[in-house]
Amino acid sequence: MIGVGKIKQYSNVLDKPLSKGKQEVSLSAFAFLFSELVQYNQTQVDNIAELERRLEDAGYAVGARVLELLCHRDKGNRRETRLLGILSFVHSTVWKVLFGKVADSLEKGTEHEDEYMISEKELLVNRFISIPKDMGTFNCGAFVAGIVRGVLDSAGFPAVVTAHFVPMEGQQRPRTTILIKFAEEVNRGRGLVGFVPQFPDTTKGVGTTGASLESLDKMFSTLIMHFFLNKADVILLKHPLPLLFLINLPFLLSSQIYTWAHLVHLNME
Amino acid sequence: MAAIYSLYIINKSGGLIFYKDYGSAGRMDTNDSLRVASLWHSMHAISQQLSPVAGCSGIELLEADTFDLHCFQSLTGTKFFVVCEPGTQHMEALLKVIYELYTDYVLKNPFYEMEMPIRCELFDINLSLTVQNERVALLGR
Repeated sequence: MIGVGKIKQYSNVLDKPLSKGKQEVSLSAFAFLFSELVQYNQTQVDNIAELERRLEDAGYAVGARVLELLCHRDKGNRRETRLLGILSFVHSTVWKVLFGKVADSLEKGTEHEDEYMISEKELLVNRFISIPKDMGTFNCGAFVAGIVRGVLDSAGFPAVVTAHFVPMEGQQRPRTTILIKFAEEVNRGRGLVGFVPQFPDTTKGVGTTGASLESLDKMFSTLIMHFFLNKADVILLKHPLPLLFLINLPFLLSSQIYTWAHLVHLNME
Repeated sequence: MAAIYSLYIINKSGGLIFYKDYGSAGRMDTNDSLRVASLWHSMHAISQQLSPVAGCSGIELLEADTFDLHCFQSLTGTKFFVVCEPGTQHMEALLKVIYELYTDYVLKNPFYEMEMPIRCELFDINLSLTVQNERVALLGR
């Protein structure tokens, strides 16, 4: 019956799941902190483009961490490998955790194939901020753009992300659009660079903690499945087992040469 | 006829940082509004000193033949006051709401410099909404 399940007793405190903790923080506290972040960065720069870049960098660090956390918490240590998958992950999961709601819309750019837009009628970070007229098109949403870039980049979808004000008809205030332009290799590939599977136990490494053969098995089958589903082009495994390469032929024939950093490289020692 | 004539915000040293008038009655030019602001600041301070009651926080309401002046002073010394039609009700509540708008849209704005004139679009928008609602409520009463 729902709601009457008895609380499970854990003999070992380490077996107890980590609680999610309180999900919300004070909006005022955040607004003051963010305001201070902008003010501090303003003292460090001499033009607006530089300020935008610094805010974006601050957001990038948040994005990289958020991805790690949410993959662990919500997706059982799996990470999105498809372009649309990661976009909707940003649009819904990430947005919900950071701003308490799903983003207003996620659209594909009309002019360019490789552009996507996440629009928000009123971005949380901009709730209390009025941009002075002399700052032109500056948007504090650059911080959020940085978060999006951090998530996408860490998931293996490098992109250029920018925040813009877009005036809306019949509305006094413009909405903020986060414009995502993916790097070339993302558009060409089928998510090669997006495929970096996470191990059941990433922090400790499989070999050292003596993870069961079963989990190793599972991992292998996932890898090979991804390979045959064309989700990964190259799989390189370094392992006590003989070195194993699986290379996709169409990928080898393609013109662009990938750097090592782009290859899926799993070090299991 | 508009019940609220004008709204002033003055910083803790008596400088006018925001002025807005509503409707034609009681309209003033910039110099006059600056004068009213600094005059009120001084009068408020003097009233605190002259008051026979210990711990007096200054004038809250000044009633004249042609207008009422309601004043609200925040803990940091920023003063908000409205000049309105004699006998207008609920002005204390309105001033509290305006103070709230000030703390939200002015103090949380990274581009606002403390004690300087307020130029924040969001503050203006939300303020006119509040005053409009107040007017509608007044007409309804």
